[in-house]
Amino acid sequence: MLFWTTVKVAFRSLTANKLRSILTAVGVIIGVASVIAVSGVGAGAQIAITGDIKSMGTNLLLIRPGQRDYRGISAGTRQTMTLKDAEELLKLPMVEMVAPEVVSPAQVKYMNNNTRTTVSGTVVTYFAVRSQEIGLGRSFTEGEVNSLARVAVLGPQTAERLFGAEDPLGKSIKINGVSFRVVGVTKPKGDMGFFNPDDEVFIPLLVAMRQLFGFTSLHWINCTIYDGADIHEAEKAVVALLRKCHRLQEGEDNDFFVRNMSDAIDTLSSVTGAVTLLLMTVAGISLIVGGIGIMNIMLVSVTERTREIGVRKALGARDRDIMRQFLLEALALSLTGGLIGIAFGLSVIVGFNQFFTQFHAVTDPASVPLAFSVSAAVGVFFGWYPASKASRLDPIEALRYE
Amino acid sequence: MSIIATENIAKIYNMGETEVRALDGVTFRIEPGEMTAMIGASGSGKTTLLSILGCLDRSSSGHYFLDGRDVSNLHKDDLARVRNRQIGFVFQNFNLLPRMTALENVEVPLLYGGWSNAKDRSFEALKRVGLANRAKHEPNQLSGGQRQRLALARALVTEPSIILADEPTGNLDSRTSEEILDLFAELNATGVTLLVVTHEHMVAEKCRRTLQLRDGRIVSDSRNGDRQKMEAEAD
Ligand SMILES: Nc1ncnc2c1ncn2[C@@H]1O[C@H](COP(=O)(O)OP(=O)(O)OP(=O)(O)O)[C@@H](O)[C@H]1O
Ligand SMILES: [Mg+2]
Repeated sequence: MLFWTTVKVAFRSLTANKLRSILTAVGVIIGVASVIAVSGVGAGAQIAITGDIKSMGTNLLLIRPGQRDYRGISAGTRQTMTLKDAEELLKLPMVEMVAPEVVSPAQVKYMNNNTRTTVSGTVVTYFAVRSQEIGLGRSFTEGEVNSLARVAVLGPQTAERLFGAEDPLGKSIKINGVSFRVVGVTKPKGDMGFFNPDDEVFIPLLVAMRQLFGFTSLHWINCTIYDGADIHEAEKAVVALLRKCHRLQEGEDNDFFVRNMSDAIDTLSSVTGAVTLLLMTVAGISLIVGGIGIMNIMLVSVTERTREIGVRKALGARDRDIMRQFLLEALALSLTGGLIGIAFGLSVIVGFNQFFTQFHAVTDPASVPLAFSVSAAVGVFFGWYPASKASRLDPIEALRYE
Repeated sequence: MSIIATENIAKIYNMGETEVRALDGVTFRIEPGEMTAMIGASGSGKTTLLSILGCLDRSSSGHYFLDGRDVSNLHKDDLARVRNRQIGFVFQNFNLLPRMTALENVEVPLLYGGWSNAKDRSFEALKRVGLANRAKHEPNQLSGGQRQRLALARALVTEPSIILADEPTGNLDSRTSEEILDLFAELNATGVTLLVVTHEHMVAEKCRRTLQLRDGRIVSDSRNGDRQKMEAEAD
């Protein structure tokens, strides 16, 4: 009874100063909205990134020669990784499939259409190892790889750029001036940021190495391990094997790098997590600022209503009744701000998803009650001091206040 | 038993170097059902005494027995309860709560006291002071006389045994003052003890007893009967 009347009184005194209440709530509105929006976009980014990596397969080990460049071809690449290494790797019990690979940028041409893209020379298992499905036509065969056939599988973006609406299958393209027959197009996987499998041309390994680019060593060895095998164990075995193959002495550095995808996921997750946390901190600070705004306006309100407090005390209000009244008022402010902020944050997410197609921001269902309780906590925390100040006013002095 | 009994009450304000003795040894009693006026020059301590009697303030020394109980050293929550249950206040400047209807204003002490059916009781109280048709009005929509009647309704709604009024007609014209005083007389007739601080003779004359304060002391305590007797003797 007293409680509901107090709630009613709280809202009435807030609506009596509408503009002031709204301005005060703006801090909390912005704080809550940005917490919701940032956490939604952050979680969306995380899901997208780890999902991309997972789509390549978490049982994937990527090995490249020691070098500083990325997907490197340039000078300085160590030329120690050979086809022999790949053959030896396949003998390891944990290793399921191995796909050696060389890569090079190249000029690709069909009729008058020219494009510069990445050409990857590899073997048939590559498509299985990298979970790369064929969308149109077929991949090249083992026979074609062994017989050095000049056949090519295009990434969908490359195909689009060269052929437009035309059917690329069976057509002849030129890579660095050498003719290749298109036998297939891969399914789109989406840009992964650090590389784009949709803008690539795949050709048989030996054709690339011997005829097109003249490489004598490999740039990548992609291998998968069996389901259930421990990826870190597998990585150790791979390292030991390659060191043996390369005759590295004890204490000598590896002349290759091994990267496993589950570690990559962890790394990227922790990076996006850190960025999200940073932004959340900024949003959290604006919540604190909003809270201070509430405290400020509540202190003003207590001063303005000193007389009312005196009257209420004269009529029998105890300290805790006054305390509760002003706490409820601060709470009404912060919760109203919180609710508007939640609505605002959710619409930011909806808007984001309308404008950005790269990935989708998500709403964590827990974030709404969380934001609600955080704004309640802000109201109670920052309303506490003004409320207790009000509650401790001496009745006779409060009544005499001009 | 006296409903109000004070023993040597003093109230001293320390103003830096000097000290102000607002009350300086006040001893008197009021019996249940009395209607008493308190008069005295400005600054004589009337409001100070009324605040102490209403448990809004504490005396610096001395004892105050309310209905036989020494309330001088009660905890402030208990004082709040005493104010809520036993005492009704009427102020010169009404002290109504803004942004609340007349009915809601009257409800306030009932809510703090945890009464049931606060609405019905409040409406009854409004009827008693003739404001039933103004229940939904806010204080700033009422005339001065109506505001004071509303304040009176709020004071009597908890059925207190004492009503303390500090210059209740100070802001009203003489006709409206008359109305308020009639209401006081009606209330007193139902057994409520009344103590009214006033400057006006007309008010004091309505009371059977008059206390006079000067410099924080009671300098006279007269019954109207006495005065009439005195006047009769003088004739
Ligand atoms: N909070 C205070 N601090 C210091 N002195 C005070 C305080 N309150 C009252 N006084 C002093 O106590 C004395 C009595 O004041 P009080 O208000 O009781 O007078 P009063 O009889 O009600 O006067 P009036 O008829 O003008 O209302 C005055 O001298 C006043 O200055
Ligand atoms: Mg006074």
